[in-house]
Amino acid sequence: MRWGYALDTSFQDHEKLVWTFGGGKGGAGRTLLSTTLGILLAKEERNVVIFDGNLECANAHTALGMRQPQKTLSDFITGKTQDINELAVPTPFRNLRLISSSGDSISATNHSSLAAKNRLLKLIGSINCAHLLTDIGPGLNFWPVDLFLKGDVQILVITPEPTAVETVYHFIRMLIYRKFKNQLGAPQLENTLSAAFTDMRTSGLNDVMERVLEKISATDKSAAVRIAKSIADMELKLVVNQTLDRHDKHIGPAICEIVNKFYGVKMDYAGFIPFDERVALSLRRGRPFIAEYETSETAACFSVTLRELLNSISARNRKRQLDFITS
Amino acid sequence: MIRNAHQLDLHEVLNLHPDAAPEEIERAYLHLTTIYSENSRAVYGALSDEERRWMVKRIQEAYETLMSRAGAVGETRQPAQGKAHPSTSAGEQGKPGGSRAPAQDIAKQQRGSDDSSKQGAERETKAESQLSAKAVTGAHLRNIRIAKGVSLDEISAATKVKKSYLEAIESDNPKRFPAPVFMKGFIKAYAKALGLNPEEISEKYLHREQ
Ligand SMILES: Nc1ncnc2c1ncn2[C@@H]1O[C@H](COP(=O)(O)OP(=O)(O)OP(=O)(O)O)[C@@H](O)[C@H]1O
Ligand SMILES: [Mg+2]
Repeated sequence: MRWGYALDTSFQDHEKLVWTFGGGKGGAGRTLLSTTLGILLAKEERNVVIFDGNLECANAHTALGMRQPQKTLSDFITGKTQDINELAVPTPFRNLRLISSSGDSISATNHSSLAAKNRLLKLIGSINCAHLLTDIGPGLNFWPVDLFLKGDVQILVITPEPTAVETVYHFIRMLIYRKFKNQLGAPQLENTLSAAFTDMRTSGLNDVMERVLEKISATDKSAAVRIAKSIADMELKLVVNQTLDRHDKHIGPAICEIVNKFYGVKMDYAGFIPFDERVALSLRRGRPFIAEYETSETAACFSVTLRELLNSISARNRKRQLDFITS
Repeated sequence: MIRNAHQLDLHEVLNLHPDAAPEEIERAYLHLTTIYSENSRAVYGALSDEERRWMVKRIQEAYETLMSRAGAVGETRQPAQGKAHPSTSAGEQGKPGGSRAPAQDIAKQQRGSDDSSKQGAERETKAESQLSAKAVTGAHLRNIRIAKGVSLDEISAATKVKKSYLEAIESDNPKRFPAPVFMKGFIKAYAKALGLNPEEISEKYLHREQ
């Protein structure tokens, strides 16, 4: 094994990239992964903002070794601040800022109404930076799922445990469900949609998608085409965290294989991060793991995963350019 | 436009490019049968059992068809190699059939609830046909065992070989192998429990090129 990979320097993207870290299962490692990749990207002289999208339980600041900032999303949700960019505060790391989630959970959970969340979803694109890394909390509700779909790079984080594996399939079902729902104009089709998806609790999505698309197509052909295209264009990434042994490392590619064939979406394996107790130890010392153990094998796994992700983004951009030129 | 397993051609089922070599076909087959096996951890919560079985069948079909196509080509080019190919692994014909008995018993019990035991039997033969290759790997053996529906615990019970050693054999993990003097005996016992030719298997397993 070679360690200390250099980042892909051919990666040049002048557009802003929104990264989202989801998966549904609590404690899988989204906060660890998003903050670590944020630190690594910032070290490469990229302008990075971490957006803590976990409204109920903000903790990206802790993962970065900081206290809860004064300014948080609460200010935005309660209307104290209008400009979301004012909320990006410096972190101990150069080039890396943080938009922290609410300071007090009571006001955040009570005030983060649907309207406020929708406003946030719209404004994500206006945060000034090159890379916006969005940490998302657990759950399969509208907020974690729709926030996840805002990503240009959509990363699912799981652990090898059956509970996490099971949850990630639910999460993907929800992604597809929301894809349909968000684009569906006609309310009468929503019943078909929810009924069809409830049927599919433990199976793949091919059949259900085909059925629903057919139904939609009957009344609104262009909507069906639009939805099909938006699903076909999806490109999920999978990271397996807390692997313990060789078998754990095989589970990521295996899940991707199944999703690619039975869930109608493209999903690529982006890498694994081993279980490493120093992660917990460094958290207790109030320092991010990656800053404390920069040269460890686990740190190398983060770098390799980041490189893999950046490479796949470059490849995708090249392909899109090519498609654009040749179309 | 949306990806769908129902529309995949034979190569796509195995994630292969159209001119994949037999070794690649075989590797893909072994890899995928593991992913879609009944106790695969990745399948859990993902697919209905019906979908899983359907896919196992597709993989099997794709593998058999592509291998026989590739085999035909191989034969015209290199007759000597071509001969050593398909189901002649039952070229253990000369051996006493008695050695098959224990495994068949285990396998039968396993399949008790499975109505499609005929299909299962076909899968077994197919899995065994991989043994015609010069070398046998742990992955080959594991695949045959799974195809026969036999668990490691059962083999361990039947052979009195510790499960961890059987696992080491299947995962080609020399660090966990027993002392070399026992190795051959254990592999033979394993092969015998699966109804395979013990001499042939231990030879091909131990003396393959690294
Ligand atoms: N690779 C790892 N090795 C050891 N411990 C880990 C690893 N990844 C995460 N952990 C531990 O698991 C805990 C949860 O990690 P993290 O907060 O990143 O997960 P999360 O998905 O963000 O959880 P939440 O559902 O709370 O948002 C952390 O306290 C950390 O100590
Ligand atoms: Mg978190």
